[in-house]
Amino acid sequence: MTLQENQLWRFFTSVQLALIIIASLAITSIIGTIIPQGESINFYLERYGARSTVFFEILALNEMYGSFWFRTLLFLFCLNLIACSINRLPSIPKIINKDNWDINFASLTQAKENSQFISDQSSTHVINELKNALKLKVLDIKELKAGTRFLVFFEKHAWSRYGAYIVHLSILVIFFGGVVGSLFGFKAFVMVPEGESTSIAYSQEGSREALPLGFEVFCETFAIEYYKNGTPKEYKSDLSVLEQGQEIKKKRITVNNPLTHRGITFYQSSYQQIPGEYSLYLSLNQSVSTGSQSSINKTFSTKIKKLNQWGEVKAEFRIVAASKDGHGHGPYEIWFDDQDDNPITFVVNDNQTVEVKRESGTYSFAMKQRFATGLQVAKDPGVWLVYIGCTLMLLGLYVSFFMSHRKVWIAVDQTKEGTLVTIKGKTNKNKDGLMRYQNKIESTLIDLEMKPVRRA
Amino acid sequence: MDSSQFFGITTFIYLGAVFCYVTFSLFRVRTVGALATVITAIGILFNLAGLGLRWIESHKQGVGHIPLSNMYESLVFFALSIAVVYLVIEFIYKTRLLGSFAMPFAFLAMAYAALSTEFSKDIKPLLPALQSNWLTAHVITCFIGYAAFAISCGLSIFYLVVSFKYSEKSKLPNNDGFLSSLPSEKIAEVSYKMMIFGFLWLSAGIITGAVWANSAWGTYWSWDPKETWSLITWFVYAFALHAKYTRNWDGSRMAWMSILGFISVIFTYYGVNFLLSGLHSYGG
Ligand code: HEM
Repeated sequence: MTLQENQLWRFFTSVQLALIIIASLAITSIIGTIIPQGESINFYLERYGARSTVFFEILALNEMYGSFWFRTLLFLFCLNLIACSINRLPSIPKIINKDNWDINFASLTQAKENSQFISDQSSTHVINELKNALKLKVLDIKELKAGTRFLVFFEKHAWSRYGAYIVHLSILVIFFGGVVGSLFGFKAFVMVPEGESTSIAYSQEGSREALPLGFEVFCETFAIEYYKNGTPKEYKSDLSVLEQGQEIKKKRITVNNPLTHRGITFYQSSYQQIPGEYSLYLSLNQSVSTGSQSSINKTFSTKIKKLNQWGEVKAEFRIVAASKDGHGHGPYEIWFDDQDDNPITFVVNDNQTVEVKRESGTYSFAMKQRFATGLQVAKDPGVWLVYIGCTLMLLGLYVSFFMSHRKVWIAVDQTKEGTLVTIKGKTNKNKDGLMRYQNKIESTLIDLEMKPVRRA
Repeated sequence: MDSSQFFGITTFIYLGAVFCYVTFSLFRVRTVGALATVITAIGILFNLAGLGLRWIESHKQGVGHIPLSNMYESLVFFALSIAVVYLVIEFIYKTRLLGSFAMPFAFLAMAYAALSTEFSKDIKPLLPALQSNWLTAHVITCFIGYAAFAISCGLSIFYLVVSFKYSEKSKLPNNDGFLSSLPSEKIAEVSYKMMIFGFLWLSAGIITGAVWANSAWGTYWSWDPKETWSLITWFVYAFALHAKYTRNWDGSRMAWMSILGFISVIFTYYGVNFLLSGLHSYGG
């Protein structure tokens, strides 16, 4: 039994199956847009009742795009695509390499649909003029009868017949990229408080297990920028990557601008205020002997009443109290001491900078709530395949839709009435385009003072 | 003048264009046909000027962004795309008889943008996730595709009307006003051309959307309702394409597919925002 006779093979190579699968994918995909996906069982019980919920569970309609049956459908789609391509692809080179000279001269010149022109010049002369006028690089000419009968042939974009196969291949590449991503990649999430680092992230796929990153990510600060009307303009986190305690990379990430290290990408995703904790930025400006200024700074993450020490400049401070309303924000009362003078107490408000002049220099205090930044953590080694597939798809669609294989024959025959020129065109699609192209050739012939022949 | 006045004027210009195209189809006065084309071109200029002005206005409010960020702005861009794509096919196919079935969509999109109370028309600052060049590319590619599908749908309705009136075999009488002198195969062909043109742009739209999602959230595909509906639309047209190419579906079957496809487009664009819930922000 040959492959062509095999029932199963015939089944998978049929375009009818493709139509059925495409229609099924379209129709079943609707379900998941109507029934909310991935909710808890209670959600479905409350909204749809017990009977429907059981039904949903059996058919996995609550997680349908990842369900066994939907994946099977996608798998069948791929099989169909592969089988269909294997089945048809070999015929394409045969079409492309077909012998274009194998054409009956007499029927070519007699066919009514082919346009004809007549000229007083000899056929060799006409051929030479054609050669110049058509300005084609490759113009194959065959002399069929010494000096009197010629056949000219040229073609364009023969390879565009592969367009559909490029599109089909691209779909397989995209699928493959998706599979690679889901096998070797992960989607995870982690909250990192300002001033802390993490070396794990929590998987978002079922298990919720802690995944080791293989390096540390440190969040220095998180900030929100606002528009004038108070809506958020940008969320940003200053992140750095540490390996064995060494800082390797530093980047300010924003929502559309993530940080990638060793194939793992960190996306700005959310944030949280940490109640009762504060981030305090302290700097010291000193006049050095030569008259110039020097400045050092440090950011502290702290709580109320905790004593903070800045060893470098031998200073210490603590937040004595937050505002009296008990919500834990400003104004804050701060106690401060350094070597030179007596300790002092002063007041700072949220996001405000207060300067304190001391003998050793000027200290600036800036204080705000302490935040934790929420990072989406993703590893997807398949994404490049997906992007290559997408590019291929656009290319293939362009080739399939906007390029066509055009063939043109021009027969030149010296007859009693004069030299008869017949034009025949053929294309696999876009008849209009071919027509316009033939019209161009025809007007070239008219420019060469040939007369169109009207035939009954 | 502010941009909304420009859009209001554009709406009336497009209505005028529809009127001229229909008049031309009925009475075949050449000058009316030429007028229709000129009016459409002027409408496009006003439409563009309005969008440009809105862009400037957003900068004046200190939230500057390209005006493609919500339902209102996308409808206005949709109308512009329809008018532009239509003028191009009028130029390529050298016929004004298709205008009566294409330009109404441009008018309807503008009128709906102007009159609807379902969405806000204010210039709003962009949420952080929406500040991406991929988003701009996404909206532009999608709407060029949708415009082509709208025209394809309009021509399919034209086709069905023509083939309903004249059974396949009888030749079209030459002097029957509206429907004559454009063979139905020609309408079907242009409609199919618009379908595949739209398919290419829809594919590009889905792809740019996926790239954007990946740069903002780290997943290029998450099966949210909007994404899924754009894929369903894509399947509908892929189905039509294969049915025609490999099973030789005729003009009227293809016309029904084109109408079905456009219903799916409308649902992707409109239905998902107002009937289902999802990630996309265009509901605002
Ligand atoms: C939904 C995904 C698909 C897309 C986007 C797609 C796209 C295309 C395109 C653009 C063409 C060229 C049409 C033309 O030249 O006008 C084509 C042709 C074709 N497609 Fe698909 N296709 C898809 C799925 C499939 C599947 C699953 C099969 C399985 C049998 C299939 C079988 C074919 C065949 C047999 C042709 C004709 C090829 C030829 O020129 O010999 N397609 N497809």
